[in-house]
Amino acid sequence: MVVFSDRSVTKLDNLFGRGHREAVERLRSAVEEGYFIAVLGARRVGEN
Amino acid sequence: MGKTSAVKTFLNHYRYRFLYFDLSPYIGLRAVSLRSLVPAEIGFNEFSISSEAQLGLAVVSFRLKRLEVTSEVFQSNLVTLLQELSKRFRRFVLVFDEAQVLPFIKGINYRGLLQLIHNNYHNISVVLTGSMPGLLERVVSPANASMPGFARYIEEIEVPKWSREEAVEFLKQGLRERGIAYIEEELEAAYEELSGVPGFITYYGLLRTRGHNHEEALAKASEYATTLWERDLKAFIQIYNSPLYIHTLAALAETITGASWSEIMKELEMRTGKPVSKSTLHRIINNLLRAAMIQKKFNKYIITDRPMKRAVKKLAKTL
Repeated sequence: MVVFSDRSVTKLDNLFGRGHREAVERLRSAVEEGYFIAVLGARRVGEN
Repeated sequence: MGKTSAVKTFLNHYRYRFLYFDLSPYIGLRAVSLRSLVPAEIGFNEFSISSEAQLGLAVVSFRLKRLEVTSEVFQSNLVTLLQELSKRFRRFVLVFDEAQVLPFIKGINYRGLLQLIHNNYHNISVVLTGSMPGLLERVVSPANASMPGFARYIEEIEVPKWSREEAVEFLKQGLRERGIAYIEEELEAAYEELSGVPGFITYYGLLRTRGHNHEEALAKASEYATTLWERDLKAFIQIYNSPLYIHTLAALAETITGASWSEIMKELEMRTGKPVSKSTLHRIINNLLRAAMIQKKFNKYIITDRPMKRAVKKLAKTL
C-alpha cells in the first residue's frame, strides 16, 4: 500500500523504491557483520 | 520517505534492539547543547537491563531532574549503558540521524566514543545518516589519515532519489487506492518539477488526497521544496562560512547546461569584484560536489535539482 505521509515509513510494505529496499537489506548484512555504517541521502526532507 | 525511512524500516522489520538519536533539528547550528543527545527512540525493553544500566539510561535521557548532567557524567553513563547492552543483546544498533551535527555538540568527544565502541563492543553497530556527504566524511575520518580508526571499516549505503518510473508508479498507486482521478502527464510533471526527491513527491501526493488539484498541489509542493532547500543552503553556508558558495551556486543556477571551471571563476570575480584564487575555487567546487549540491557532467558543473535552483536564486538576492 502506498502511504502519502510526511512522517517516516517504518513498515517494509510501505517502503517504496528499489534503492530504498536494497538499503534495508544492506543495512541488515552490515549490522550482522558488526560494521559501522554511513547512510547517505541526497538531501534532508522534513521529518522523512 | 528517504534515508530515515530506510533506517527505521530496517530496525522495525528485523526487530533489532536500538537507540535512536535524532540530530536533524540541529543542522546548521554551530553550538549544540548536550541535550540534543537525548535518545528520540529507545528500541528495547528498559526493564530487561540491570538497575545500574537503567540508571545510565535515565541519566543520558536527562530524566533525573536533580542531577546536573555534565558532558563527563553523560559520557561515563553512556559507556556503562553500552557495556550492558553489548552483553545483553546479540546485536545492538546505535543510530545518529544527521550525524554531521556531532562535531558541534559541546563537550562530547564523539570520535573517542565511536572509537571506543569500535574497539570494544563488536556486536554494537553504529549507523550514521547524513544528507551532506562531505560533512559526514569529516565526522568519520580521523584527522590523521595514517591513524588506524573506525573510519576504515565504514560501510557506505546510498539511498537514492526515485527514478521517473518509480515516482510516477508511486503516485499512480497512491491516487488509485484513494479513488482520485489523475492524468499521467501531471504525474510526470510532478516528477520533473520535484526532481524525483521522494519526500517532495510524497508531499505532492498528500496534497492531492487533501482536495488540491494538480496545479495547486504542485505549486505548494514546489514551494515547500524550495523553502527546505533555502534552510539547508543557509545551514551549509553557515558551516563553511563563506558567501562564495552562494555566488558559485547562483552562477550555476542561471545556466541550463552548467558552467566550466573557468566560466565559474570569471563569474565569481565579476560578482565579488575581487580575484579568486585557484585553490579557493577548487575547495568550493569540491565541497559542493561532495555535498551533492552540484554535479559534474562533461567538464561542466551543473545544478540538476529544480527546487534547489529556485532556492539559490532567492538566497542570492539577499547577498
